[in-house]
Amino acid sequence: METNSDALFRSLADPTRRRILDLLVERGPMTVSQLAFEFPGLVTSGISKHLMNLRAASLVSADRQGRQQIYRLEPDAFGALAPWIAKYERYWSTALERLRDLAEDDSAKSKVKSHKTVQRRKIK
Amino acid sequence: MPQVIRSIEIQAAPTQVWRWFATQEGLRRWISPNIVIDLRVGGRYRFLGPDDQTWISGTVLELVPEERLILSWLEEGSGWENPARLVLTLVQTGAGTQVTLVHDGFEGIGRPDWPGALLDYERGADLHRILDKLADLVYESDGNQ
Repeated sequence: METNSDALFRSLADPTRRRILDLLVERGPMTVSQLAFEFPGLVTSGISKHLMNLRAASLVSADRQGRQQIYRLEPDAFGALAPWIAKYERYWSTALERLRDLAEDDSAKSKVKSHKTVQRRKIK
Repeated sequence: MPQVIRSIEIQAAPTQVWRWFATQEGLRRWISPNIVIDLRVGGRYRFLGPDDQTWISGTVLELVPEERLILSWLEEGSGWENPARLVLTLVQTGAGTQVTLVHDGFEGIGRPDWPGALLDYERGADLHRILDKLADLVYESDGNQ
């Protein structure tokens, strides 16, 4: 598990590889030449190297269709980031509730309170 | 890319909401009771994070009163090579203010060596306990004001 995670973070550390992932998130599966078109400053073999790295880190997978390789995001590509995301989701939900209560206490005098939040009110 | 997005509707004008962004004391009431921050662009900040073990630090990247606050966000001792980012924006709505929080950039942290980072944690454990107590003291004194 450690080694998978290390490979993931090493792979994600490169801005070109992050941009490739962004493109796959935005547009769905893409061929190498479609991806290369988005990086005019890079040769196609450079893109292929990045794609190999992303495959080794289990971030993308490839299917051969005729003479083309189609690259797509792995469904659980960002699993190793989940602990950080979960921790901060809880933290920020309660922090924003604190902020709301502080600011609304300030202006409580003349305003009707109708608490409407995107979040659940209290998270324990 | 994975990120945290939270949005809340506050029944108060942006001016009133920003009061709680504008000073260190204001931020201590809702972000963290022990945050120390130099509130200007390029200014540094630091506080004990959500798990009460990890120190978070970074710099103020953008500061536009009543509009937005953007911080870089680094977990100390967690092996991060690059910071994540916290973006807080205020938008006036009919009834008050919509505050939106985006915490992103986790994919760029470049954490190089997971087992190594765990070892650092264990070595730092005693230090963390002292800092926990310090945080409690800061919290208590602030809570009584």
